[in-house]
Amino acid sequence: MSLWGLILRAIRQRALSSTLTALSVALGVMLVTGILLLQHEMEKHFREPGRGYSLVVGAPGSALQLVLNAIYHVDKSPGLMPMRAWYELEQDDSVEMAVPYAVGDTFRGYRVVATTDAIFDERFPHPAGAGEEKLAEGRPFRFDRADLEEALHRLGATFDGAPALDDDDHEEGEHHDEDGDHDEGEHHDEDGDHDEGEHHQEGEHHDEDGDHDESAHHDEDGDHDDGDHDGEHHDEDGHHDEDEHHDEDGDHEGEHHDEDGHHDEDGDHDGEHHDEDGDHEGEHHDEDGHHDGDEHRDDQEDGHGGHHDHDHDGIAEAVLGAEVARALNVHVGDEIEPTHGVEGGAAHEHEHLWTVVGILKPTRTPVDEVVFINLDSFFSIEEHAGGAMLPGTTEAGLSSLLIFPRGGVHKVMLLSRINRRPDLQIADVQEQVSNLFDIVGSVDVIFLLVSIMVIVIGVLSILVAIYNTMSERRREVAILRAIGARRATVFSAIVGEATLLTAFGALAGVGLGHLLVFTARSRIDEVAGFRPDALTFLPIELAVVGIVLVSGALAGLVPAWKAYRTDVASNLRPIS
Amino acid sequence: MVRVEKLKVEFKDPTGARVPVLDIDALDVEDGAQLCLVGGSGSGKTTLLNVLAGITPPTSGKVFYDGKELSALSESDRDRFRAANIGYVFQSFNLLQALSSLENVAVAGTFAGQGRGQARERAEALLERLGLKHRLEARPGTLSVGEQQRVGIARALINRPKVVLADEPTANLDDAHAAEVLDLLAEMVREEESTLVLVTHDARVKERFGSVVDLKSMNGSAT
Repeated sequence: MSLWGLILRAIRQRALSSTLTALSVALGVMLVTGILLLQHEMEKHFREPGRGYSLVVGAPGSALQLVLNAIYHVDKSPGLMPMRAWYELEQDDSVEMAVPYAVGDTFRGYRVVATTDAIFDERFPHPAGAGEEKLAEGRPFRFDRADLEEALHRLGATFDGAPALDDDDHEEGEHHDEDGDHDEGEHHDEDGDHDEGEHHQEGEHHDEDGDHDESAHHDEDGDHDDGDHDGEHHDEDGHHDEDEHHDEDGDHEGEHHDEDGHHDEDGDHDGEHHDEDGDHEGEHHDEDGHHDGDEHRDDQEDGHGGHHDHDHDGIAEAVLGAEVARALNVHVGDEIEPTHGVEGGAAHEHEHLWTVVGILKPTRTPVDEVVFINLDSFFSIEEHAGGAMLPGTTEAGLSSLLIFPRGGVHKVMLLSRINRRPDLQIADVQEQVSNLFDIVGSVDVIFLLVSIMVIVIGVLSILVAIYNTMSERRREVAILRAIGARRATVFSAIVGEATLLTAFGALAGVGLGHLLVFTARSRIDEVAGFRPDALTFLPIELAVVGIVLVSGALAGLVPAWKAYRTDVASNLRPIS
Repeated sequence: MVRVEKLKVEFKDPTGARVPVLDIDALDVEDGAQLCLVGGSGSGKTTLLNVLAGITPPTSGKVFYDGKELSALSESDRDRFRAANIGYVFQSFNLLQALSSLENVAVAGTFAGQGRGQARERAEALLERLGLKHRLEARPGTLSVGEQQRVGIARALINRPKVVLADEPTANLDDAHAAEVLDLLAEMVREEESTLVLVTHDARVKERFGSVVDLKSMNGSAT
């Protein structure tokens, strides 16, 4: 019979009292564990979505609201910011990547964010990876800068600092001039220069487009200009264009992409390749959505017929957050019909369909509950015309602009530079997340203090419970001493009993705390907007158990001292 | 050999006055002896045993075990000495209710430093010898008074003590059980080559012991 055996027997002998005192400790530990767990999960919930983002630019207003809207996809945006700021900032030396967001639509309760294919860039945080790596299935949507500008022109909106162009042919004409030049194979190098110089705006289009990255390569490589020529050449065939659309909708999407890849690699193989491959020419059509758009617009001008509405939408593709796809049971290839209405008045359904081309991997961040569509398609919808421009102007507007600066110094420079501007505000995501968490965190501290008080009461109840049994235990103590137990042994037995009761309580409390969070997870999701992971065990829980154990042992010292001082002779007297 | 020299024990009454309880000039108990001390209630029988056990320190005087002065030891040393050398049998058995018969016996073994297995084996053997083989796991509350006292005897013997002190071991027993327990106690102490000091006012006990000393006769100034 060891000392622990003796202690266990003593606990068992007073099973009810022991259970109740352990339970009082368990309740306190349960509350502390639950709150710490919730705090951790909440912090994760608040901090994780912001991880990887740096700056958000938006309309002047609340910086927290801007971050909540752009990163957490909650709350309204502070308003529209001029789109020209995007054109301006993406050229800024301090900016590595600028990603525009236009919000306002919903799809069956989930937010729709119109943006560029920059969200598939590996520098874009959620989910990790680049291009298709970010996707659980399907492919990234295609974004076409030229289509966007075309749509904005159609709305009569200015967007790049230059006055609205009502004669689109002007631009197109330039293009054609270029094309003409390009057709003359000998002038490649000059053309390349021309692309970068004269057609600065168009150069941007190419940069923005994922597909146009190739075009960017083309610009650098004289040889690739050939590719451009080919593509543009084909664009001029309206029929070809429609064929492409069919291809996109059909099974050949993947092939297009694969061949795009080939095209990248085969950059040097210029003309021959194109000539051989019919499909290859098709790709060029894809890449040069710009030209598609032009043609459509031409069609529209010519016919102005209602049946052309769908055509001038250009590409309308959507990539869904993992949770959206799961909850709504939407798959790649399905068509969805978002509703305009988060911002800007009553909801009414578009008569436009977006094809779901990809589904993002789960991130456990708000990104999972977002439908991403290509920005050009957003502005192609006439219903968006009202919300597309800054009130009282013809300036195209965006909800926000995510800025990924080149480095720490650039971030600081951007912050101070843009905050001086009256038309924009810039918010530091991490700073706002910290502010947000500080607000929520201070409430937690109060709950935590209350829980600690509950633990203190629990530990004190152990003291009281054991102390109260000491009068009936004096005889036991005296017997133990009479048969050879030392005073230290008796003392240790009492401290050990208090510690063991505390240990049972603390461990049960940790278990109950997790159980509490587990049972309440759906309710927490409803109330607080996040679903805690109840099976996360935190290092701090070990610390809580340790501290509580020490407290319990200390509480045992009082009755143990009483046991230590017990007079043996007087307590051994016969009962009868 | 146990030797008591000029032993005086006084208690304070509630008013603070000193009340002499024991005053024994000399008492020797030879090894292997079975001494029966008789005295009425309040004659200091239990106090004498507590002094011999090192539980109650004498007000003055000395207690020697084989020449080693127990009364000079610190309390924890006396605890240790008691565990190793003294077995105590009580009038009201004083078994721990939370423990089984076997555990009640074995726990005293572990206090004296026996290993758990060793203490258990020895406890089992003693209980078997005392006819309690079938009650090893029984709680004290489920045992008859005779059985309880037999467990008490086994506990007193677990550490092969030099001396077994028995305080009115039959006071709570009926005649049949008293005779049985006394026989077993005397027999077992002899088997274990121990010494027995028994105090009683029970006439049934006196008859069974050759060496009976009236405590009153040696208790000088005390009542």
